[in-house]
Amino acid sequence: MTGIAIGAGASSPRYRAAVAELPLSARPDPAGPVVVVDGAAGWPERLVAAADRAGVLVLAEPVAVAARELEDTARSVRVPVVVERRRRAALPDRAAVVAALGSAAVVEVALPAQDRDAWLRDALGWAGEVAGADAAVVAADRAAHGVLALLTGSRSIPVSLLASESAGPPLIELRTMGAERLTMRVGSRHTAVWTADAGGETRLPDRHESSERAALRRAVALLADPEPADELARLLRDERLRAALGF
Amino acid sequence: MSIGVGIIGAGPGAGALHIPTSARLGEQFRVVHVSDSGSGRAVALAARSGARSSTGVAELLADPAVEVVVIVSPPEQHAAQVRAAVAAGKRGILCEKPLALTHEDVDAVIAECRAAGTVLVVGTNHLYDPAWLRAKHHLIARGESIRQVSVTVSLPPNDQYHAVVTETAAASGAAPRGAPDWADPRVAAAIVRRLIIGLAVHDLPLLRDLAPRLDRVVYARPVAPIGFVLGYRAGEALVQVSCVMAPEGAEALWRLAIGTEGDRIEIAFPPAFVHSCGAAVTVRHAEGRVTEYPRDADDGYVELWRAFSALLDGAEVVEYAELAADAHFAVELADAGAAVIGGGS
Repeated sequence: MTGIAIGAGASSPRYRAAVAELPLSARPDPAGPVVVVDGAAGWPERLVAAADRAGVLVLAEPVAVAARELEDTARSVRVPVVVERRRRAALPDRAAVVAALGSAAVVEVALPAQDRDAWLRDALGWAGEVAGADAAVVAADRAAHGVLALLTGSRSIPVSLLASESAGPPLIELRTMGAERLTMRVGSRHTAVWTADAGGETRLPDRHESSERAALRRAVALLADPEPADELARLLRDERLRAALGF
Repeated sequence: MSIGVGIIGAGPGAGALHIPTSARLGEQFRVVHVSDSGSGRAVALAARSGARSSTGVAELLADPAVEVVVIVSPPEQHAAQVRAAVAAGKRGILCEKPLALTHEDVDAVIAECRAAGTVLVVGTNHLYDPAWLRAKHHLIARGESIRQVSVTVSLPPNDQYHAVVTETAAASGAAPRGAPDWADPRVAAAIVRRLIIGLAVHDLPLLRDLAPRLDRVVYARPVAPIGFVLGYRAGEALVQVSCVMAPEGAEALWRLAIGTEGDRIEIAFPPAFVHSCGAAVTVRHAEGRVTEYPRDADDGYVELWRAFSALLDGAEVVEYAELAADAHFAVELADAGAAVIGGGS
């Protein structure tokens, strides 16, 4: 049974609920080794401050920060960090396989006015993930309300991303193209994934587990079996892609 | 009284597309002559309709039974064949896209059609799909500015779609094309130019309606095995066009997504050649409501032929300037995309 210290912030009710959904492995404990840090503005300072007393940190839905600031934070934090990102949960295995088969990919994004930068960061993160390791923005242009970018990476396939501000519901829609295709639609509260091949289209099962509960499970597992955590590094990669756009 | 149709070209564009599509208009049109460029395929196609067949265009254009001409030959022949049909005094021409490959040819074709009063339509079927008219109406009624447009095309081979609209005596036996040498920028530029002007052209008149100008191509890249991605700036609107043709696999995906300051409109077009129904339109309203419009029974190909009929009847007027602008836009975008690739950027 692992003690979970839930820091103050908008995420705390969600994390209290998540702890209640892990009755055999977690319990609320202000002095516990897993410390949840709310991802509202100012989170880098809070994360660094909490690192001294934590075995594993959970960063809850971080807002966007400058890549340089995040680099400094990552250098200062010496404990594993789990990053809860509802819009950037790992792809299901089957989806990851299909994504790797695509010969090109397209990302369309409707950016909300509030939290715009975090949505763009996450959309770029998906684009970069499909492009492969060392993904980089190789061409881009900005309009008053949007951005257009081409990314490439180790997979040597082009990934085209188009994002613009919208008063409508925010959305990230990723499509890989080719003989087998992946479609992923990420909304505020829900992610849906489809694959398609010659046999037809398949809707992959929804993940009904909350992202907070999944984050706590990862944190508990990390505490028991420490391994290099790359979730903060992944966040940093995504922020670097956003920084490259200057939007 | 049926209108006599001469078809220049005897490939799938004739056998699987325009011959069966024209039949959907009942007795308005009858195929009277089919010509090929030496393949010999015109004989069998013509025989189905009790039509004459020939090789080359001279005999077809000299045939007095041919009142209107449908051009489904390779794109590089379109402009010259349109001009030849005008010179032969034909009443009307339905030319498959693209109308021409260069600005000079666009100007010449349009000028000669206009001077002769020849009815001209270009086979940009998506432009005629009732779904596009519905989407355009929604955009105009809402009056919102266009911020992003995304065209995504991922296609399997066309054979499976030919098979649901026609019958062929035997497989063509044509060997699959080898992969192009994408490493050579000149080859890559030429192929992508052809893909823009020959494949993406389906949607270029729609893009021109949505974002009429082309400020600059931000990127263009070839995609293996055959395809490209291209992004361009059109004022404050940003546009991405992505096309991939795979040697096998998933059902055709052909979609156009339009993002405004509030609403988002998505159009899913049916595969090429088929007549299952028109495209699907979904509107995701700014307030979160989603509207899915019922699909029309008829697709853009059928509506294209209806438009041709209306023009020939004099019920509609040929918009030469619009046809010219669409064709120039296709050439401009194809040239700009090719230049980016050929320049190695």
